[in-house]
Amino acid sequence: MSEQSTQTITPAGPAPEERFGRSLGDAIAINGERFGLLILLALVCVVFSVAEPSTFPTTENLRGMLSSNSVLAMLAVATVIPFVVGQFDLSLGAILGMASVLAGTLMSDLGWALVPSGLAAVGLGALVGMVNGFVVARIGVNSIITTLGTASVLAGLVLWVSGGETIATGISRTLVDFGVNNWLGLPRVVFVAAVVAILVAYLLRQTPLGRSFQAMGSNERAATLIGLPVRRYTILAFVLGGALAGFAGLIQTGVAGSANPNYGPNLLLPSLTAVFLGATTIRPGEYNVAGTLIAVAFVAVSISGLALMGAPAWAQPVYTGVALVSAVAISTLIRRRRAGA
Amino acid sequence: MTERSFQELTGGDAEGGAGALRVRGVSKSFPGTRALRDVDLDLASAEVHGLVGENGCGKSTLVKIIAGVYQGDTGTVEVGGQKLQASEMSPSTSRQLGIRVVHQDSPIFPTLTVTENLLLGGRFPVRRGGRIDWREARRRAAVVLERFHIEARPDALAADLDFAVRGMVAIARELQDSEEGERGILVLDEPTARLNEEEVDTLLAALRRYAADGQGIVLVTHRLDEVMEVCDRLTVMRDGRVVATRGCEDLDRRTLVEMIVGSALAGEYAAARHEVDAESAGEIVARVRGLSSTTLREIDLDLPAGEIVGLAGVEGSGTSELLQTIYGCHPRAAGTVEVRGRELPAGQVRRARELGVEYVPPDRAADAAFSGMTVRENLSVGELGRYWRNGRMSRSREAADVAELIERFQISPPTGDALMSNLSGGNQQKVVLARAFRREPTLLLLDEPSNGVDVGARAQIHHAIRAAVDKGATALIASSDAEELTRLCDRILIFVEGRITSELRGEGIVRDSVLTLIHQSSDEAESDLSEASA
Repeated sequence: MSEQSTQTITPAGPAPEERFGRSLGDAIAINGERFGLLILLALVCVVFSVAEPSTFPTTENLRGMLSSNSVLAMLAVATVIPFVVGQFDLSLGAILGMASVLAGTLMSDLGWALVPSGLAAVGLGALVGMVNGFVVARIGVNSIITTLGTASVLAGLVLWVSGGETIATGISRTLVDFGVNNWLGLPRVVFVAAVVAILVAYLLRQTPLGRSFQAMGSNERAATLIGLPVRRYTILAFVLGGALAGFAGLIQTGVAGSANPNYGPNLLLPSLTAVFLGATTIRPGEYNVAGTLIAVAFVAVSISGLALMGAPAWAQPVYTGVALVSAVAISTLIRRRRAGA
Repeated sequence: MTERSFQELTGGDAEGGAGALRVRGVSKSFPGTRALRDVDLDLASAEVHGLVGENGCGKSTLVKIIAGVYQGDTGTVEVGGQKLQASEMSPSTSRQLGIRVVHQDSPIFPTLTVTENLLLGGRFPVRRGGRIDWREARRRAAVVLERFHIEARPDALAADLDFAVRGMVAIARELQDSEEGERGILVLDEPTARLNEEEVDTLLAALRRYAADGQGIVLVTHRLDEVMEVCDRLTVMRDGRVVATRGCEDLDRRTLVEMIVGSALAGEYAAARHEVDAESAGEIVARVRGLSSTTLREIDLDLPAGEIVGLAGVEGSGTSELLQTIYGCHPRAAGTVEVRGRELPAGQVRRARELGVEYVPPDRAADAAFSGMTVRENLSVGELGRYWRNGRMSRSREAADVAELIERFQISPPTGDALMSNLSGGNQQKVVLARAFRREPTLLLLDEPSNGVDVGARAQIHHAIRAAVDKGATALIASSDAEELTRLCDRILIFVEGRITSELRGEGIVRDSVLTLIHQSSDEAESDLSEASA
């Protein structure tokens, strides 16, 4: 069961029959794949700038996109961590929502200060991650099933705690100010998201722990036989992802100035889309932070541009879905052609 | 493809699947490499024809062109007077030429019955309403089983069959549509790769029988003994070309190896055996007392430094399990293991590695290779802490170590940045071994260390094992290849049903005695033992 789930979410690496001698054509194909999404992003920006010159290429719109997508970016980056060890975590959106509502309730109803409320939000994320990790790594339940279940439980609890109401009063001033103000002309949350992304990228690429995570995602049995503490690290990956999602929930409360119980679960699909799209670029075949950020930007720009052009609301999810499937399909085709089969 | 277009392709007059395969002037390039250059291959009907060569010599590419999986750039493929351009080959034209291919990982579905495995692919008899007529299906399966002399019940689960019988079922599925006595071409890609010696014999006997019925068979394999045993003729390939095609009667193993490798072979026989006797033996590196597990029954072992100890036994006799139980990846029921005087507790792989124990599992793809990662990452995955300097991974130190290992183990291509999955099987195995050998291990536990590896790489691997052992390690090697054990080991322990029933040393290390002893029943072995002690 767990083996199968590992297989389904491991992005197909370059085909085994790829040869070493690289001709110019191969080089173009490889770099085209590596930077394809970035080029596409630039292209989409140009198209919308030409189509909507008065609204799209403005600092206001840029700020708007950055502040409304920084939380999504953090969530997507958090999702990368369990993906790298070869596990799905579908509960991170729900954790974000729960953390947001928890922090809001603590500040609003119980009058807690910002710091303890924030710690509680992060701690909640870590705790849920630990439960997920324990069930997956110790008991051996498929991670998709486990986290889908957790997500449903959290959604229920959020409804219970909040009564379905958005908590709009009593939110810490500091947090709200932080959420809406700028530094150097850019929303402050962008800097927070950047720091989170850099830390996670550093963790995954520059530490023994990150390299062990990648090894586990590549071949869990071999990682066990080499003596890596696979179960412990699997739990750790869920805990890190959960804690980051909890933190993103806290920041979301600041950005929105309120805690909306419906917000978190709605981010699940966009964040998954970003992670999958991200695995087709920069380091194709690997879940990676840089690619994930580019993917968030790509989806955000596209959706904002479409909205400015007057596309109806239903166009957004359609666009997201089409973008996900076609991007993965294109990278699969490139790979297949490169293999010469 | 319709019947008519096939006629057009072959230039008409199909004589109906008769006889021989003739491949002429086939070349094939991939981006960056020429896989095949001007290859000819002739297969007579009723002949078993070996196709041998090192990993990457082009034999798999040739088989794929014959099977229609790849298209050749130039050349022709001809069967019984029907000639096709190699560039026009496809799986369906290949079948129409009468060619049947059983690929290495032949799709036998373990959870399905023999009947289902045989009739998959649109052969199920169907009654009204689309319901399968199981009685008729079983009857047809029984006919096929009988015709191909396969000893299996139609209702048996494929998972319950031994690997030789599974291989025969895969072959029968390909051949069942041909009329009895009709002559086709059967291509088998490494059919014996996962079989033990007994199963190999069963399968080879079956191949001889099919050939005697007029079937032409191309046999691709790494096992040279089996080529010389079963084939009428063989074709040797090297670097994408055919080196020679010749008869097998007057061919000795050494000549064949030299043809494959392309030079006089210094390595293979040079790995001289050490005559370790009890007195001159080094310090005891590892001590095993009363070790029991699922299969193992109270194993006692003393392993001195500088010794290579072979473990011989049929599948399930406990050779693999001994390695796993010592290493800690298989549960221990009782007993103790000491390495350099220190207790190694059960089930603690990390502790084992701290004590200098290294284990190389037999199934490289499933248990050892990180195929989506680079060679560099594969080599340092067990040693990551070593490169953690000043808060980051030190790429330069890592690269230096990796370059040294690639050089020492002659890994090709000689770059740490190549993806593991892009290496040939032999080179992947060298990476896995290099990872185990890099820390100057105390106790090496190697299960099938040269599994699926060509002759040249095998000699290098044997040298590497001997070199590590000469530095004071001791090696326990389980192998289903008795030839390999006799060539490499200083001492061979024979395992029957979880017990060590005999021990061969020095002059006593002979392939035939190994094969005889591992097939003894435990009763016979015990009576031998008691006689010896009396």
